[in-house]
Amino acid sequence: MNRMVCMKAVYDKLPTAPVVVTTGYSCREAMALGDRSLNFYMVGSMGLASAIATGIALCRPGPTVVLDGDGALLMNPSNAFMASALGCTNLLHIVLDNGSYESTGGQPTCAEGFDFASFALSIGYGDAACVDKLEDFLAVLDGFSARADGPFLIHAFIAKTAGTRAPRITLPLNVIGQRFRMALGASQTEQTVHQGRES
Amino acid sequence: MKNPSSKREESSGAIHPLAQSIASSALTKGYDFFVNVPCGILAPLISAIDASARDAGYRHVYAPREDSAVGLACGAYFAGRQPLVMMQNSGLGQSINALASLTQPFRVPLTLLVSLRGHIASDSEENLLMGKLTAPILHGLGIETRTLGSASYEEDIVWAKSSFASGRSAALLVEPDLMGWSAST
Repeated sequence: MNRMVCMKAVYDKLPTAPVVVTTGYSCREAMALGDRSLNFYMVGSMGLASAIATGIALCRPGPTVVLDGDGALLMNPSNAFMASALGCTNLLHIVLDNGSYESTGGQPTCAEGFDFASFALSIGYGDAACVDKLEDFLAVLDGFSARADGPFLIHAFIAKTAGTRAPRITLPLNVIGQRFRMALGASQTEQTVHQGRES
Repeated sequence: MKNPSSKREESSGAIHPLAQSIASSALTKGYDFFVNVPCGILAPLISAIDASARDAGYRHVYAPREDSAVGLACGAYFAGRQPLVMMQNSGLGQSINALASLTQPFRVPLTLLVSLRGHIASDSEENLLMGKLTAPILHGLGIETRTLGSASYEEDIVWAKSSFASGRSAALLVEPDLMGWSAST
């Protein structure tokens, strides 16, 4: 199982869900796989993808997905506690675990052997699963809407790779932000104001 | 167990009148999502916001870290809200990367309410340096600042709202004694 296969599975199974993508190769591969206005490519602020997704999930019905990484979760685990405390039942927190910081040269994270599913359950997530095969990942995604009283975490083991062919994101960041907001159904009036400022 | 508001209700005492007036102005001007990381200087305002937000049916979140608060508010903005983020200036340090690499480049217009620990020489030694650095850091990030109470409180909120409406973040700075805090308490 690799990152792009997991991302494609999320796009296929949850086609109308906003997806917040963590820093590094995750953003590049998510865009290379097929750019969507419902994707938020969080190219900076490593560790905060889950906080952004929690903010969306609190304000909007339907599932919100965060594609997190093992290194990103370790960088700011406070956000997982916050998502749990806020009882975001519509938050799907996917941790793609390759055990490494690939985009900075493949250094190891300190996550080897950590059981993020048990961690999530211990802090009050509604449910959690750990998968290392695509068919299991797909089955868990299929079952997402039918679960309990807090966020759902999927700890997915993926292959570590030597690099990516996906190019860097060149779309202006304010465009990514504003079209994401529009895709979530936010007010047109504000959009016009923002676009006017750019011209 | 996972409803933090249920644990806080018993702690609310009388609401500080100035804090209530600021909270009311914020709600009147369209702020509809509130997140804070607690601070002694801001405590009266946090209580007032909490009560007003609850009455209006808006979210008020107690976040564990300032960058988490900024990230959460950013998500709320994408979902159509007009968020207000309250933090102590010591936590501004915690949130610099969130402001520098998330909200500013993506043009997410946040209104920050930042208290000024270390603003007066009698404050604790560990707060003095960030007291001096708060405004320069915000200005370096491209975030305009204004001292809360420099004009009428309503005008301060109108100023913050106009920044939001034009797509810019803005910070209202809160001096320590505004709502009665002192370094000796």
